[in-house]
Amino acid sequence: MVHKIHKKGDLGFLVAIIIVILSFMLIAGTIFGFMSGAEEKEAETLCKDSVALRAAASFSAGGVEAKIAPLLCQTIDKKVSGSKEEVQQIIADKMARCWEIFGEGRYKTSVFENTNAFSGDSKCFVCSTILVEDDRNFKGEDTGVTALEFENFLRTADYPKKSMKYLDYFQYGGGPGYVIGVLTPEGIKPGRAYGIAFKAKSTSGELNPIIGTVGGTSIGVGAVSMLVFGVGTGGLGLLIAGGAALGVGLADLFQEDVTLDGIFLVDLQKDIQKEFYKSCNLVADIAGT
Amino acid sequence: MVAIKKLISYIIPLIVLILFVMFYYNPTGAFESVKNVVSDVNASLDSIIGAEEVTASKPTLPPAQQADVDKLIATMERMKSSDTKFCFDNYGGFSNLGGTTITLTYDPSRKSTFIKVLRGVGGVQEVFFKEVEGMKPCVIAGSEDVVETFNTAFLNTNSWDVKSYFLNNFIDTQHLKKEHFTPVNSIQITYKSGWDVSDGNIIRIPEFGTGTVNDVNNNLIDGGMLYTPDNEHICFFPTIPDPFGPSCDGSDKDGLDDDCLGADLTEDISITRQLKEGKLLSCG
Repeated sequence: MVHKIHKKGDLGFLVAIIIVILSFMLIAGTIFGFMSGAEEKEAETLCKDSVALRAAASFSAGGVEAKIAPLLCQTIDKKVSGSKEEVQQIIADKMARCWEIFGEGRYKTSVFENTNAFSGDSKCFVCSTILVEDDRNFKGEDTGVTALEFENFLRTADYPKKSMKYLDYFQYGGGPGYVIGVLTPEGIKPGRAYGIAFKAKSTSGELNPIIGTVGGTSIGVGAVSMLVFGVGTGGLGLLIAGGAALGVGLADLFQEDVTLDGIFLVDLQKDIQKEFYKSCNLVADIAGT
Repeated sequence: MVAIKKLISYIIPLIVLILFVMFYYNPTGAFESVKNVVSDVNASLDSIIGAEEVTASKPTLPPAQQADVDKLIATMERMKSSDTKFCFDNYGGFSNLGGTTITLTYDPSRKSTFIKVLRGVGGVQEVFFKEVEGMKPCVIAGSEDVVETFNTAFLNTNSWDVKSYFLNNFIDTQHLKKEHFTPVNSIQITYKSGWDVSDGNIIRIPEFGTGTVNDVNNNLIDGGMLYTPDNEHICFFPTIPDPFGPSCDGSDKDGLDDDCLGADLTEDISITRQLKEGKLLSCG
């Protein structure tokens, strides 16, 4: 009889331990999930506030503007998955958030330059790197979202936070701006990584609308242009629909002096990434990377 | 006595308070003066502290250019839905496209052409977008062979019956394949001016590179003409200024002589004249 009671007691204790452990795992998972999301939000808010403070605390005298507050921004690494639509939405949201953080194109001078006394090359900051992972609705072996498809998505999908289309938000939601995508023929798909970068306006003062030229002929890159780059003879070059190659390199896009702020979505394929980091005059984040 | 002292000790401060209030708060009092000084300082601080901001508004097309684009699309749709092959139509031409760029890009995965119009700040803002399904862009240019074959087929005084026999038996057939048009993946149309160029609308074909079409200025004197061989390809006419005087005779790889498209009103083999005389077919 005593032995049976002990057995019953042991069983009850075991059940209680299992319930406690399961509850702990559930609660811990929720908290850590919340905290990692909170960390990302915190980093974005810190960056946005530092940009706003830097602008608010800038000092002008005799046409020269000086910014003294430091930028407190870091690149956020993120893994995403979902259906084709969901992945496009997430990437578009991150691009819009990057645009919002760096002032929506509202500041007359580059947010990165400490002074406009010496006009320099426009600089870029990588807001986030996104790794697209497999999902049951969108796998690595599926056809990716093409450049034109994503361009059309930005043109037609609503950005809920601002009650306007993504394209409209980038073009005139704050100040004037533009969006350029640098993708491979594979487009946006699982197993690939993408960088979202803010490119500040050039302070050279002359309005220069041409982004990318082929021997003097503008390739007509507009406010939203998802361009496809491929590696062929002669190296990395711009492809147009049908695969015809133009003699336009990434440097043509990143080194042009454009007097608008812009957002870039860049496929971090080896050659493109190398050219991107070489051409874009990157601003380091607060971690120094 | 004590009461009077108390009264005086209340009245005097009251009077002083009233005087202070009058001094500071009357419309021309000291307080207003202080406010004016502070607001002046504040205004000058506003111009010193804080980054200057710019605003943006939704970019739009001038009404004349919007009408041109609408007419171009309507004409293309009409040509696509026509039953007539090897036919011509007229979109009216473009007014001065200063500040605006029109791009046509073919997407083979959708078998559509996207028409994008750029203007706004920096000339890069998208103001209009339209997908034309089932349409492929082309040009009557790109090589000497293409232009020569087009010339042979259409730019003569023969009746339509003779031209039709030639087109159906010698061109675009398996037996003797000779192209008389060049399919392209993208076309750009804009305006160019400068001290060293002939001002006017220009047409550019990025995949041609330099040396063909893209180095000719003011090269869209097309009389508003478009051509379709098959109700799927719709061709623009890059033009060249006539080096030999007014007549339709100077075409080359950069396009047709503009006199062939109506620049010379007396030219009897121009497309516009032949359409009027029934020697060429109209799509509409």
